[in-house]
Amino acid sequence: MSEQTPTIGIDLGTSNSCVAWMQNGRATVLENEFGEKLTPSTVSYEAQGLVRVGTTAKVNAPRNPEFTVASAKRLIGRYFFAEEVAQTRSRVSYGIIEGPRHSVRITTPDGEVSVPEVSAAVLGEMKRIASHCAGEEISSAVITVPAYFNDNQRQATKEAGQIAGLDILRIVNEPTAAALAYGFGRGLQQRVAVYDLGGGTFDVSILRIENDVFEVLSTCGDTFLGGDDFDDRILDRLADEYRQATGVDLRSNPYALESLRAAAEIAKNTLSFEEEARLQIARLPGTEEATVHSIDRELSRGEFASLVQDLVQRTFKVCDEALQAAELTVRDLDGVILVGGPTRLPMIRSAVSDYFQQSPKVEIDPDQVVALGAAIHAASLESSGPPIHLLDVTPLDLRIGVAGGLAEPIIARNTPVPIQQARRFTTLRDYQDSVEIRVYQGTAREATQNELLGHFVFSDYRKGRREEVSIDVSFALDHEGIVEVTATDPHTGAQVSKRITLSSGLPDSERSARLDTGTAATLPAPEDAPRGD
Amino acid sequence: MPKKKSDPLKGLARHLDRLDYYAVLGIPENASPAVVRNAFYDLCRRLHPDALGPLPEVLRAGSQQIAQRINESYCVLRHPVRRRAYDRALRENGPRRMPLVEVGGESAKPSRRDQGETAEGRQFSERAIACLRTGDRAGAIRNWRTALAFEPQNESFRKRLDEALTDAS
Repeated sequence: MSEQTPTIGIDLGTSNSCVAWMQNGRATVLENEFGEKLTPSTVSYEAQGLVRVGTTAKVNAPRNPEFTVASAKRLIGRYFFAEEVAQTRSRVSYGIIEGPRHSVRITTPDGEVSVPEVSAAVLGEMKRIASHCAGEEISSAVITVPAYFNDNQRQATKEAGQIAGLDILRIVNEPTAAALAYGFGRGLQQRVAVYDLGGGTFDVSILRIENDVFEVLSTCGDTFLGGDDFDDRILDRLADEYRQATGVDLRSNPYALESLRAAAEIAKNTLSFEEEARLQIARLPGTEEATVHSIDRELSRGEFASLVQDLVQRTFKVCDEALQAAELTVRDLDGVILVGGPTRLPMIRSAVSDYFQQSPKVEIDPDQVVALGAAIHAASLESSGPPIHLLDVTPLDLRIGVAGGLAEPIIARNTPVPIQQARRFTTLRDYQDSVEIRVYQGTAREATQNELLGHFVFSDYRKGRREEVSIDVSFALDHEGIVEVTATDPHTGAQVSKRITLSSGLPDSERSARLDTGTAATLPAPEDAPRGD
Repeated sequence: MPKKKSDPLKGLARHLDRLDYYAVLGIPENASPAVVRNAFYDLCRRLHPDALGPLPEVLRAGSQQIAQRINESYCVLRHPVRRRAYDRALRENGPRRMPLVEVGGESAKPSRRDQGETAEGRQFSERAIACLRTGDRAGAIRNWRTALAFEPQNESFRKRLDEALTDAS
């Protein structure tokens, strides 16, 4: 490695993606062949295996709505029965179907593809852009994910990178990367909040920056909230008005839906710099009696604000939580960093200023700040840049399924990673011949309301009456937040380890048992465990 | 059980398990919050898995374990309520690792059984712990053995004797 091939940082966004690298000590965003710094995270599947990615795919979307996939990030690492998947299905024109082991598959003219495969097409495009700029093949990258992503979503994103032929150096949280881009090389001693409103997710992280150390104090998020939802509010308003005028529901027509969506997004973006935006959509399906075949109306900043008011307020509830977890108040913060396209909206900026009682930092473009931070981290990991130290936390409680359909927390959210914790359990019944260890991530006491990360059966322990049985279960999270669970019988030393991965999938729900803890909880046998739905 | 002896970092991680959190961070028990944090940052600069760079496979698990112990120590000591509970546990000769999440408020406290069920058991276990704190392993081993003579069924005593023995070897 004399002439080192640069390492890239990729912000794989819900709506748009961005790629950057470090050169001569400076992080730079790379442009695609259209001279754009953002590439739409859109993939269009056409006949004869033709796949378009990025700007061309997005431009073509209204002509190929059934096979143009946008917002794949909303689906990545999710089970088909997840609420988010149902919600996405009802809003998009492309086909989302159930694959093996409750996975999500997308239909294309040449059969089905997995969600990581769709994201891999986007990552491949980012890799191609960077390789083109470098004049040589780029092979390794840091990829960012929303801080609030669970382990399944992180693993699936990693898988997407591997499919794209990238060596994934690290999965980094978006707000953490943004803080890095903001604080890198400036010798800061500050506490900052990162307000990250993306296309499909909202995250807020509170960090302490001390020169080269970036310590995440807390992170909170809402994976159901983003700029797309703002577009949908405009879309719904237009569709409702059209139905009142004509009786036709445009939402049931994929071609009309794509046209509405495109117009809504353009109008929203226009409101970032204009007081009013014009919505013009021609050639809409009508009825014989109705004469309206187009939409032409103005949307003011005021009307838009009233449409999305509650969504904006929801972000501040999440901020409250994050500050509380960090045991800080807004007065303790030295800065607020904005991330994500929707934070360009004047109504968001003024709401953020009001809430944090200070003007947010706007030196770095909110669409590029995450990719720049990822590039800085990539260079540091490859020792081609100055060392920086990211000390991140786990965003969600890690829990074990215990008797009664409950999930007990073992590692709380906002705990620094890597971390390891152990707990002693016993069986639910006397002479129970196996226990099922189910690992959940989430904040609910009810097991089924959390994300099931994986499960395994442990039977290699000394059987006996409940009080005589001991099973030590150890939970470890590595520095990337990847989970490993080990069950041991302390008397015999017999041990089963399981690296929890998405492919561990869901259990066959016919069988179920139970586990239980030494002090209080008991582990269920496979036949007693709750089902994954 | 296959035991990987090839990872020297695992040995260090096991050593950290036997230190109290103050010793892990290398700070006095009256350290201020700023001292706790600076000690933690310094350790992270040197021992965080990212700071170590790409490691050969055999060293990876050990490097994670070391960072896990450092984080656990910081997690308890940076938090005033947890730190007070931990200081109390140390004074009462409780275990030197404390769960970060309490189970029904129970498991954060050392159980009666861990401290000994007979007056003699408790007395010798306290002496053993006092020996460990001054670095006197041989003394600790002697006292655990005596404590076990009074309470041969005490799992906690046996475990700690085993630890002291592996430590010494």
